[in-house]
Amino acid sequence: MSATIVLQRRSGGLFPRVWRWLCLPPLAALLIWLILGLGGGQWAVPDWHDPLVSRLRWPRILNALLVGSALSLAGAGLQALFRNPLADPGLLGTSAGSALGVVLVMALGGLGVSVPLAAFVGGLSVTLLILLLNQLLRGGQAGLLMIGVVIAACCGALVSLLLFLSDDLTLRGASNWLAGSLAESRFADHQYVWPVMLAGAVLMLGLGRDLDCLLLGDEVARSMGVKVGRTRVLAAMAAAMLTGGAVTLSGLIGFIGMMVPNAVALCHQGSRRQLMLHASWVGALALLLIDTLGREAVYPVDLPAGVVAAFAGPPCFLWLFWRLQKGGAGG
Amino acid sequence: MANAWEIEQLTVSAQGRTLVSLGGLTVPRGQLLVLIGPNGAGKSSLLRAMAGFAGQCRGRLLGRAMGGKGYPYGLLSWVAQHETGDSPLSVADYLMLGRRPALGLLRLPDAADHRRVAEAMQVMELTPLAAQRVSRLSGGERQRAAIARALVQDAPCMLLDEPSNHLDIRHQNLLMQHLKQLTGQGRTVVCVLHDLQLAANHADQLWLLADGVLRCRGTPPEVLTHPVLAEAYRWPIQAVAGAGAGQGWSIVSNPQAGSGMAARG
Repeated sequence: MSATIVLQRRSGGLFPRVWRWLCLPPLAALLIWLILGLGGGQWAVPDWHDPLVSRLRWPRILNALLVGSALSLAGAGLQALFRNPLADPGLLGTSAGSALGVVLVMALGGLGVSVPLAAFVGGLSVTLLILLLNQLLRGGQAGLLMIGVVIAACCGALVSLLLFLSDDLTLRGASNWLAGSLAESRFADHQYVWPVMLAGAVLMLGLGRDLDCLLLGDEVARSMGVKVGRTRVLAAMAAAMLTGGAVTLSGLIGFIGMMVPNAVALCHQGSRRQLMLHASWVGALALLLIDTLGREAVYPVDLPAGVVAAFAGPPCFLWLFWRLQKGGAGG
Repeated sequence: MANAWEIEQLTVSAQGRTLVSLGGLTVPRGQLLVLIGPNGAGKSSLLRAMAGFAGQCRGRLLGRAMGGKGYPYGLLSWVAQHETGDSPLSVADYLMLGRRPALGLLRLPDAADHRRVAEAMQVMELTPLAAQRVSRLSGGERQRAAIARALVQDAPCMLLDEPSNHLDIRHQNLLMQHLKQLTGQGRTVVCVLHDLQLAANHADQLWLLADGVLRCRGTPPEVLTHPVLAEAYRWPIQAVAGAGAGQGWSIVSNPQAGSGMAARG
């Protein structure tokens, strides 16, 4: 009882909610500023005119923020759509389709299409194919999941086949891309993905309330006036736009999209829309930290962010889960 | 419009087997209709078909054609037998989802919506749990939350699939009293119940189903005293009317004690 009172006083009196939110933007800005100055194993006050800062680090940081935010937002939406906390932006075949597009372009040498464009088009078209098939088969939510997994597996097989048949140089380039690296981020490269990602985010956030309803079951949602089929298709499209954009900017980065929404859901209680908003800033900062870790931890080797995420993610999540289990049992 | 449902023909089938088939039935407005019958009789299928979720139903709901594309959204609220979903919503937020038909996708809840949620929380005795996470509730509390969410919707018809599941005796009776009160306001309530005593004491009308067929329908005294009741359940059941006014029915299903009690009743 006394512990509860102390907790309440701490959260209510000394450190009220508003302050927590007001503290956040300056802290995030400070973090970004610190990371901007970090390079080659040492830190220096960032010089804005230095091309190293303005041409390399700045776009890389922005891309990390954007990709982390998009993947987490998409994951938070899809976890409601599939009623499964393990759902990942990769479930709708977007990542697999992007991989196929990229490997196809790399293996066949150009085709006059740039790698980012191939990733973008590949990802979105495979997701559209999955949605179309599901619509034809009237599969509902379970069907969408199954068709998604099946088509993603087909794309994976095609990627393996293409890599098997291609030469070493292509293999090296493709595996770099598949590992998910932010090292080659540039401002100018792929400005067409920004508006698409923004549209995806707006669409997904707009659907927040219906995703909350959908989580309770198709029939309950329908009785609450949710147009179940339409919501499912729109949410899947929004997720594809977000994931497709993210994959285009960075290659394949796993775990973030599945982990961040779960971590946020463990700590935060509220609607899906709030959860998605929180997931998007937490995910942005998380990927920035992960990428910085990969950039500096074993300098001069620049580890791909996808690899670091795969290593750093599971222990973090286990810790969080363990802490909350303990808290739940005690209280 | 005196009838909520006018069912011409209703069929639910799955994998070539007919689960329910009935026709030529009406449900008057402002009634509490309870569907009873043994396991697998088709009660849930019938309820789902009446909502338009399953099967083919030719007829009208509140004057609108059923079974077509224009499914009458917002005319009914629904409480499922088991609700899926492990969402991080608080009980108050969860109940607010019931305002979805009124709020649409984007409008934020105003004071009237919050008042409506608070009322429903009071009715289902959830007020102390308002800030709790839905996923941390016990089975009975979760069931009460689901019912409260449907109440918040303020739909003219309410369909509940075994709403007394997981509820203790107090909340079972409070629920039925509240449903009865809703019918007094002109709402129509249809629910599936396994507890015959609860059904007998609160329903306006009982439909007894067995093997997908409507075996008997009428007021509780008509259905409960009909020999088809024991036959449908394949178990000796006797309904005993209470001696005084307001004493209600008791259901005796013990084969040994049954005969003696029935003689007295």
